[in-house]
Amino acid sequence: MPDQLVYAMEVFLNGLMAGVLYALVALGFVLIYKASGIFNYAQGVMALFAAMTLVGVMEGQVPFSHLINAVLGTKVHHFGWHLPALIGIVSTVVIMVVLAWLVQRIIFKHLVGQEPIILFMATIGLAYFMEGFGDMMWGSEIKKLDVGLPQGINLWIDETTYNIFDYGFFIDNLDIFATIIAAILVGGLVIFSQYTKEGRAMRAVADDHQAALSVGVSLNFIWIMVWSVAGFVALVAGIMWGTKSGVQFSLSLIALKALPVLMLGGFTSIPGAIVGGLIIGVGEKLFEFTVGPLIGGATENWFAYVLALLVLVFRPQGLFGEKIIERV
Amino acid sequence: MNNSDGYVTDDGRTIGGVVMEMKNITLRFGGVTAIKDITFDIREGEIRAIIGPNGAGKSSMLNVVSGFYVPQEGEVFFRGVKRPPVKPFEVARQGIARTFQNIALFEGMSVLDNVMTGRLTQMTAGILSQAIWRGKAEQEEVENREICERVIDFLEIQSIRKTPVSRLPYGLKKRVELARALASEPKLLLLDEPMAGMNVEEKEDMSRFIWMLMMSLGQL
Repeated sequence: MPDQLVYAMEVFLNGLMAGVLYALVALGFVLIYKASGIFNYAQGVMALFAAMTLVGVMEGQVPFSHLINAVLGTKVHHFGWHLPALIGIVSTVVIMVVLAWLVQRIIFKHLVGQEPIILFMATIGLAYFMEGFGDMMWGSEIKKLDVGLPQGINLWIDETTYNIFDYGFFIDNLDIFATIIAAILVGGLVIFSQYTKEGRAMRAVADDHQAALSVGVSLNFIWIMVWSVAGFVALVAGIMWGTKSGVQFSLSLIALKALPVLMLGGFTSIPGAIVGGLIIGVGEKLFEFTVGPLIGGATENWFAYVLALLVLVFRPQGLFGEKIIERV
Repeated sequence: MNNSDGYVTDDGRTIGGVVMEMKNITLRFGGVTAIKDITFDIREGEIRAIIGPNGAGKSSMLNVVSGFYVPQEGEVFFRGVKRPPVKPFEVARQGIARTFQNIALFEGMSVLDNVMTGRLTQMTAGILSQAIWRGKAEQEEVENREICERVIDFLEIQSIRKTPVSRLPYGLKKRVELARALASEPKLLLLDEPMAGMNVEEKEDMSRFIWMLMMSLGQL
């Protein structure tokens, strides 16, 4: 087998793994958009906030320590404990649920029935607020997140591929793990939204508020639930990205990578978010590998957007979005 | 008034006690008084119609009964108990189902899914049981499905069970909305302009359904 083809296969596999991570972020967007018609600009910041909180809780950081020290003249920094990852994750989930409740209570409860653009603006505000709030709470330095996920080259794949192609593929254990987690998460979400009564109620709310009320669905409850689930997805995404590249501000920018994924997959489709993520992940890696050298590289920055634009021209609703039929 | 006393109609039907009682209801929107000091009751097994010209406040009255509007004055009694100001979803859970003047269906879902949402208030299985599809959840889903299929048969919409609602013509949408309301096995069924915009045949069908419902007391 020619070398180039073997390299391309490795690039393809790595693209799939990267795509899974994009899909994880896109999922959070889709969930909230489906249930409330809100495009949640803050999803990326939520992932950052979740990861920061997880590190903070596990390391026993005192929240708002800079503020407390500045006001009271004390010197508190740490509680002096190190919690196991599981306790840290559970605590962070609880904090994300409380956050969901607050977001609903303080912001979106008052914006029921407003134009989508106003709801969108509110999420932009929320994003910048949470960014500052997160920094104030946990400090803005780059943190290391280690919840005990496997990392480094997968030796089994390396050896197996070496025996077949005389060239060992470099596949990160973390990426494999992320793929498995994402698959479980997506399976769970699909079962939840299609087969449980809460899922049915969620779809009902997404479709028509009045009608949902008339069949006994509490809008408030559903919205808090959806923001909580989105917070949980953000946490999972935050853990994966945080473990990979450290918990830092740039984590919140992965939200921008989720945009072309959403355009491609459609804003309303959970499977669409996954497939869209994979296409973008594979597409940008292969494009960089094949065309990149010819035009000076750095194509990964823009390829996803160009691909999404191309799709938009032919299928405005995305590959998997619900078709919009307007009767005239 | 004695709640338990009923009467027998000329054609031999028994009308039971009072289910819903509205006392001196007044509803205002800012300076506009939509409903002024209205009192009436609804008994078990009867059809109570509210008629009037455009803007008379018919829909407003229905919205008061179903909890979408809260009246400034007056009292609402449901099954003998005074009702505090409640949210519409709580009213639905008490057993009051409704349809809307301008159809409010879940356009993206199939007819069957729409009707199934009518059963949401009756489902009690825990999330875990539902997720693994065992025990109570499975049994509940089967029962609910049966009730919905009975409603669908009654309203003669079997042939469009799997069709997305957004593709249906107006008359059928009205019927699906009625099906959803019936699926919750309501104690009280509110129909807001059930025949508006229908042609003669559709009106006859709708009248037939409402009449049969009354005769059977909602037991399909």
